Amino acid sequence: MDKKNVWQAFRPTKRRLVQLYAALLHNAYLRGFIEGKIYEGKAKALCVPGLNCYSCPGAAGACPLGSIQNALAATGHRAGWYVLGMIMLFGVVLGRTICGWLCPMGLIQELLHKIPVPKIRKSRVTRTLSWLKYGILAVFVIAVPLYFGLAKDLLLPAFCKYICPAGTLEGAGGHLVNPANASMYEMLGLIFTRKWVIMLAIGLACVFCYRSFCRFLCPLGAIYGLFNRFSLVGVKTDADRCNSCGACVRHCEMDVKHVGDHECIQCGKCIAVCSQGAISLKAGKITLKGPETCTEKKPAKSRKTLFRAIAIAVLCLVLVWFNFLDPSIRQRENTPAESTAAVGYEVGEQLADFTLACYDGSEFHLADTRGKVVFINRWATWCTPCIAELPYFNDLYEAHKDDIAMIVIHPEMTLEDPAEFLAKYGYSMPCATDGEGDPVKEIVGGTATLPQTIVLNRRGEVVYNSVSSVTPEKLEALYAEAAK
Amino acid sequence: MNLTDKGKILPILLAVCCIALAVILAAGAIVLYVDGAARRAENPLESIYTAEKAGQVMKAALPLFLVFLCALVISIALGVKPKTGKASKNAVRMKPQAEPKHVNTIRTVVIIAAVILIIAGILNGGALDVLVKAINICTECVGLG
Repeated sequence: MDKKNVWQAFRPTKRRLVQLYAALLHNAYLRGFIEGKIYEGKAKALCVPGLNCYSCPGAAGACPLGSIQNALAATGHRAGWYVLGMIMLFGVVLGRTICGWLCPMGLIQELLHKIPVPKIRKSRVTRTLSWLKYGILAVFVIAVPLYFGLAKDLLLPAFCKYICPAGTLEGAGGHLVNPANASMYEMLGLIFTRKWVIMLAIGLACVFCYRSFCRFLCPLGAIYGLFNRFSLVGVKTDADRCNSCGACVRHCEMDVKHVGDHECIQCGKCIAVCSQGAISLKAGKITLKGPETCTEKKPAKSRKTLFRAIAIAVLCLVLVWFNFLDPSIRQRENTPAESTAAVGYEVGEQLADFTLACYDGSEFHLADTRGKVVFINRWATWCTPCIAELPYFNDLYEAHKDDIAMIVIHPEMTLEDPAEFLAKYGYSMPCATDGEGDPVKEIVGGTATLPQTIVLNRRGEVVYNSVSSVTPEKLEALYAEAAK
Repeated sequence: MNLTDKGKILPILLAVCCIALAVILAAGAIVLYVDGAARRAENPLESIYTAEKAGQVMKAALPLFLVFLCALVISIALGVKPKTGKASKNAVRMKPQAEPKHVNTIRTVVIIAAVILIIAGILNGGALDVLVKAINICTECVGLG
């Protein structure tokens, strides 16, 4: 095959370019990949249309699926109108066009499927399997988070925790590959092993079977599929031209029964195979992609060039904003560095002093704790592993009250009342909310990841500082080590 | 085996590589977990996974990955394309699905409802709730632990 033919065979299509463009917009915070930190700006209150983990270092917006699970789990406190409205808006405007054109996970799956191996054809089996995603939507996205939220006041985004390969690949993988996050390996255990194996299985399935995750497992696709029939943008068939030859359905790699049904990802591949020119991709009455035989007036070349220029300008603007101009970035850059080498948060260094007002009215002043072993725990009401380990800290505190100084600290930004939350459990250890701008988080070298535990010896030196869950045995061992 | 068999040999080789790579990476993680959990049972301060041990698993998979890459490059150069998973010839023949009646009305109602829900959500703190969750990493959710 000569060079020209190779290029022709693997030349990216317009849809592929749009997918790449959308993936870049979904993950516009590129410096996150270098620094190993996530974007913490206010723009993250906006949901993105595609499945893109918001714990990915590059993520510029919130994942709609993660957000809806959290919103359902918090139903007892606040109805999740916002996320529901966002998903409805995306659904009615774009439907599953999002899956076919915008979703970063869709792009990854299609690239994996490009590997030239023998493929599994669609069949009755795959068609039956395609209903599985509705079951996953009902159980993992709706029922489990709702039950645990209402009955136990616990946040359990079950799809994220047990299945989502985007979380494992982008969230966990995105952080673990960065040497700056080497300490994260300490928290890996059964959950990681399970999700890693699931991710590999899904990835392997995608190599052999077109968009396996999208077709069989993705609950977001299931939701958008419900809007497909009346979404503004989508593939439409002209009933007068259609001769029911079935070429469109035969050519389609998804488990569709009709063009534009709930399984259709509106990719528009069927437009080229329709001999009658009956299929086109439309936004309302505007034809975005029509058959070659289409008699409708095509946009002028100058308009196309203008459209491309605008698209590139928007991308540049978004990238510059998220990586350099966003106020949260500048705030982080302006944080003064520690002045002396001896003060820091690494093991062997001395933690800088801080004072916090506790919920019981007392004051925790770090400098006053010299001579005692100090345990500092950063937690949050929305963090399930944090809540699970709080009793261990309380038990340790009760067991060594005279020899331990302890404080559990909640981040400043929250809609819940941590004091009220803790009061339900009757913990005796001192608890406080971090100050404005989370100064203690900076002092202990905290990130957006919770829970974090810091242990100081009697001289105030750090003997342990890790973002990971602890067990009662581990806490006792840490106490024994720090008390030496 | 003549040159025309390239269309069969390379896909099978690539398929074997893909499966083997996935098995090695999955088995490596399971072995690391079992080994690490046993060590942690003896000493609670031990980490189950370490960057070094994860690196060893990756190193074990590296030769196979290189074989996979070579086969992929060769298949691209030879123009071996994946055969798509189209349905058999007895696929359905049916009339196109008709658009629901009053589609514009439904669409408009849903858009208005969605905008109202978004505004209500912003007012009841739902947007801030999304922000709080999005700017903090839920380690359990992404599979870190």
